[in-house]
Amino acid sequence: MFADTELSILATGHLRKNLFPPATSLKRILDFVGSQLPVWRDRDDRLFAVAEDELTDQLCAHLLSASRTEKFDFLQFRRETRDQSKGSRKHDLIVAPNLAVIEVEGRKHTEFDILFPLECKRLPTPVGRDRDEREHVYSSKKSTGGVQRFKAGHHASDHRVAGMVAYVQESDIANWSVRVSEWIDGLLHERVAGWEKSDHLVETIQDKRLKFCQFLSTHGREKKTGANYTSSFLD
Amino acid sequence: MSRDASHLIGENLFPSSAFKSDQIDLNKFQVVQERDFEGPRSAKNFTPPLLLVRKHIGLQHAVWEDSYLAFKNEIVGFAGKSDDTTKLKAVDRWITENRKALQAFVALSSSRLFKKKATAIGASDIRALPYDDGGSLEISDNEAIIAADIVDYQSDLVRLGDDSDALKKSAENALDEFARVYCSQINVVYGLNALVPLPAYFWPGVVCQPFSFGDASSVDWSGADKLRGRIDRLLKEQRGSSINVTRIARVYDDRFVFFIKPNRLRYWLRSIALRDADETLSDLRLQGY
Repeated sequence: MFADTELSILATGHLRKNLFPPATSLKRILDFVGSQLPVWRDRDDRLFAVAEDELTDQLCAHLLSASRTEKFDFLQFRRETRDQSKGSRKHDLIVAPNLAVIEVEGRKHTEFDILFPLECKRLPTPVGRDRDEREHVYSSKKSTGGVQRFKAGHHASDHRVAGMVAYVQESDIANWSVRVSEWIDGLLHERVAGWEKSDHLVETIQDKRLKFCQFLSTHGREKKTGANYTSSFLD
Repeated sequence: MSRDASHLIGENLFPSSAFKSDQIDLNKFQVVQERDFEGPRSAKNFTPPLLLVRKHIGLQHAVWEDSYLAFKNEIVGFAGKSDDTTKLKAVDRWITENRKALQAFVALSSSRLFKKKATAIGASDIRALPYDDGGSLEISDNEAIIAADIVDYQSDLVRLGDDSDALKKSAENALDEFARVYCSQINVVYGLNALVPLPAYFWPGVVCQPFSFGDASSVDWSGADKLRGRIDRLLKEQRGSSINVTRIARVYDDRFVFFIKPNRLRYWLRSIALRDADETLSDLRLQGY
């Protein structure tokens, strides 16, 4: 009888090694986020905005809708979510499972967990007494530099993969790519602790038509090493 | 208590059985006989233009413009002013174009469906239907699949159990669509080495549907028939005297994924393919991918 029947699911075995590059799914999710940036920027119904919070609110709403229509509906996107290691810090934008339980490196992620965080910064950095123009990478005035806080473990210390979005509001991506590289060279020249040549960003996608670039960087961290950072620049 | 029903007596009566899909079958019209009425409403409720919606999970509906028309309480009528016909036709079209999603909405929210008369719904269910004038429900492909399976199969599974199509029909005709939906969802993430379906293998009462990442060459099934007893034991377990446990198995080997499940439609619906895909994505991440 149907009413007397219970269901159980058995999953067993392994796919062969090297069938896919490691962490293919996380990379694919980051690619999805990157691919949606120009779509979001160019939406006719998007209200003009300049402030970082307003832009990120809009981006979050767009990613939520796009995840449904582009079959990434196993994900959800949320704003201003507390860091799971340092509750006093908040992430600009996070990616989390949507009902489906996702396992990464033996750790189960439910909808309450962060799959990986995204930090969003404007270029140029707004001028202010406590602002550092290098804030995308590093701030000498507080610990809010985009890459800096990830390296120091102030953000996402329990994640090996994270992302960063740059809203380019003046000049163009090529110029900012050079500037970011110069800032990192400057930190190396000043011998700022923890910064190495390998912290430089490597361009992985350049789309001049869509005014979009993606970079990959691998950063040593104070407590863990080998963490990856994907930076997306949107002009 | 009887109320004045002079606006009904002798008028054309539209019984709910006169709905032929979304058409009105004029041959089934009756005439309202003189008797007591508890809630006769007023004449303007029966004055065209009317949008008539049957209080049934089928959401049969039609716009009536011709003449004064009485109807019983199995139908919800939306009476407009003489210049409201265009608006009523827009709602009529909305129900037609979004029928599956709206039916799923009712199936999930109705407090009356599945009670007593199992397919009857309430007037409040119809009034609660979402409507966006000139807009769209913006249902995604996956949401449309889930809505369709709720309406076409899961509702009857709840209502009829062993007598529902989901349990009476075998899986054979559903396998192609199951495989298409499953591969489509997996390949959103792992399309680099795309998953493709391979021909299924059948034991009595059991189906094994294999898939392969990146290579469509077939599986060597020699000797598989000898596994019949083991497969039966794997998928069926009796707990106590009355509880049967039906197990479904997902097996990963080399570049293959095998689904082994009972040969009933219930386990091979498109919505189940979406759930299986979610779980597969979780498995593959656990395997480091």
